[in-house]
Order: sequence, then structure tokens, then C-alpha cells
Amino acid sequence: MAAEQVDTIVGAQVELKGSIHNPGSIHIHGQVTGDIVSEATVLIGETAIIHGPITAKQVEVAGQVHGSITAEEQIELQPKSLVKGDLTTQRLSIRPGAVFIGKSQMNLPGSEGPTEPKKRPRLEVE
Amino acid sequence: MYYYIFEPPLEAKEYERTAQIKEYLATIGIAGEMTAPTPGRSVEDLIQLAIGKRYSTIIAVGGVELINQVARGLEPHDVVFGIIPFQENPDIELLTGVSAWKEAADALKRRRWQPVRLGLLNQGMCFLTPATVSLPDGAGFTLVSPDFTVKGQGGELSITPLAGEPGQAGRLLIEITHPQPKRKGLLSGLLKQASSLPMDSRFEVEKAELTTEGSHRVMVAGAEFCTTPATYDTQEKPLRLIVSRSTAQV
Repeated sequence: MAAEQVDTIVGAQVELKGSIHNPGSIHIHGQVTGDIVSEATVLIGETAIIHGPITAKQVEVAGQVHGSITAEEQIELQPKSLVKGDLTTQRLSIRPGAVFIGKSQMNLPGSEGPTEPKKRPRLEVE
Repeated sequence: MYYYIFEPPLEAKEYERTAQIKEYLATIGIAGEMTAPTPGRSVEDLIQLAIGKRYSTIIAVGGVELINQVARGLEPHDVVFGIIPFQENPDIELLTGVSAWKEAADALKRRRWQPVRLGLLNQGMCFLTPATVSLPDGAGFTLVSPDFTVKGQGGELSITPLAGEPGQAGRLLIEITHPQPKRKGLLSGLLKQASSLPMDSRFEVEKAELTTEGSHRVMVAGAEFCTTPATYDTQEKPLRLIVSRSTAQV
């Protein structure tokens, strides 16, 4: 049993057309044409090809994404990943070997209460 | 008082286990009316008898086939349903939170229940434990749900009704698994990379329609229910199923 309970998994060699909306984590290893929405983490595996927007708390990409990615907290592009689309997040990490074609927008944290120190958006490019 | 429907024992070992369960139920103070189906008296007949006698809790004691039969029979009635499985079963454990018969008997005493919707095959046949379809390699399938369409090839498709949250629509858990064949010899190295691909899928839907290349059997608890194409849905009215303390919502 995996340590993290993954609610939705799309296996390699599976094609899915339509919307995946899930409050839990989503792992994609196959082909998806449509939008992907999660309140947790979305993992795009090495074999995955996505045509559509992704919205989640955290997004990790090791495969291909043809569409925008919006992550409340963090986007991580792994080596060999390919993203054609705009990225919007607070923290962006692009590993060597990743290909990113698009614009990135770094958002300030939503919680700007008087007691909380203001965090700076963070970009990591190796 | 509880009404028990036992699976008829067929061999000496099963007689012994049935006697042990009956004795334990008496020891913990929940021995009620104990019955078993016979050629002249079906599970459905026994359920009608229990409803007629105003039993509010009916317990299935046996294997997954009997458990599914009793669940189907109870669907139209407003009673609480309990399970004592003869053998440990992951599907029953997923539903009730208990695995061994003694644990299940102890859970009956506490009578904590949660609503569980039965799955509905082709708008007519109810199922509690997974409905499965085994497809040979290369056999294509298409699964259409209100939110998305999934296309794939081969593997075992398992569809299980989920407990769900009270007041919410029923959900079905779809799992597609591809057992890895054991290969020896020269090809094993070449095939290693392909076999290490994350092939299995898992997602939830409200309802689904499954079509396959060719017709394949839909099995529930070892028995053939129908063949593909098949539709899957959940019953509107949930069943009140006795579960372990940790699983219970009520």
C-alpha cells in the first residue's frame, strides 16, 4: 500500500477524454484530453500526454502538457518534461532538461493577514 | 433481536465453523433466530419471513455469494444489514472495516451502521462486492461516464459501489489492473521496460457504460451476472450496513 492515498490514477496506454475533477490527488500516466482539477497534487508521469488545462494545489510534471497549469502552491517541471502553455503559481521549479514554452506568472500568497509575514514568490531554475 | 441467514455447511469443517460462530454469538449475547436456505426455502423467502416477524436487523453469515444475495433481497426493506464472512475477504473488509468472523460478530453487538449503496448492473441486478470483467490482452474497451470517456485495452476491470457520504449521490470505484506476466528467457530483458510502465488505473464515477470488443462475462462473487456491454449505476436508497467502530459514521 502506498503511503499516499491516490484517488485517481490514469494508467499508461489509457486514453481519457473529458474532465477529471477530484478533491484528492491525481496521477496521470496515459493520455488525457480535457481539464484536470484537484484540490491536492497532480502528478503528470513520464509517459503522460495531456491536452488541456491543469488546476491544483501542487503540480509535478515529468511528461508532456499542452495547456496551462495553475497551481496554488507549486509547479515543478522535471527533466525531460515538456510544457507548452502558461504557468501560474507561487513557487516554480524548472529542472535541467525540461522544456517550457509559454509565460509564467508568479502569484503572491493569498493569505496576507496582518500577523503573517509576506512571502516572496520563488523561482528556481537549475 | 437479530435474524441470521447462514450459508448451509457442505462439509465437516464448515459444520464445525458454523457451530463455533453460533456458540460465539450466544456467548456475546446476540444469539437470535438462526436459519439457512434450503432447496424449498430460498434466501428471498427467509428475508420475507424475517420482515414478517418484524426483525430490524438481518445478518448474512457465509461467503460473498450469500452476502450479495441477502444484500439484494434487503434492498427494498428498511432494515439494518450485518455481515459475518466465513473467510477473510478484502472486499468485505473494505465495506465493513472487519476481516475475521469474530471481529464481525463483535461489530454486530455494537450495531454501528453506515449507509452503503448497492451497485446496479443493467438497471436490474444489485451487487455489493465488485463486479469484474476480465479482458484478454489487446481486447479494447470503452467506458463512458457523465464526466469522461476512457479507452484502453486488456486487463481486469473491477467496479465497486462505495459507501459515500450521507446525502450525496452514490459513487462507483473503477479499478483497471494489468497482472504482470512472469516471463523467463531472452525476452525478459526486452520486456522489462514495457512491463514496468504504470498500467493500472483507478477512478470514481457516478455511473458508467462499458462496451468491449467482443462480449465478455461480468462476474460478481464468482457467478456470471451478465455479459458486456453493461451499464453500472448505484441504488438510490442506501442500505444500512453494520461496520466496525472505526468505519462507522452513525
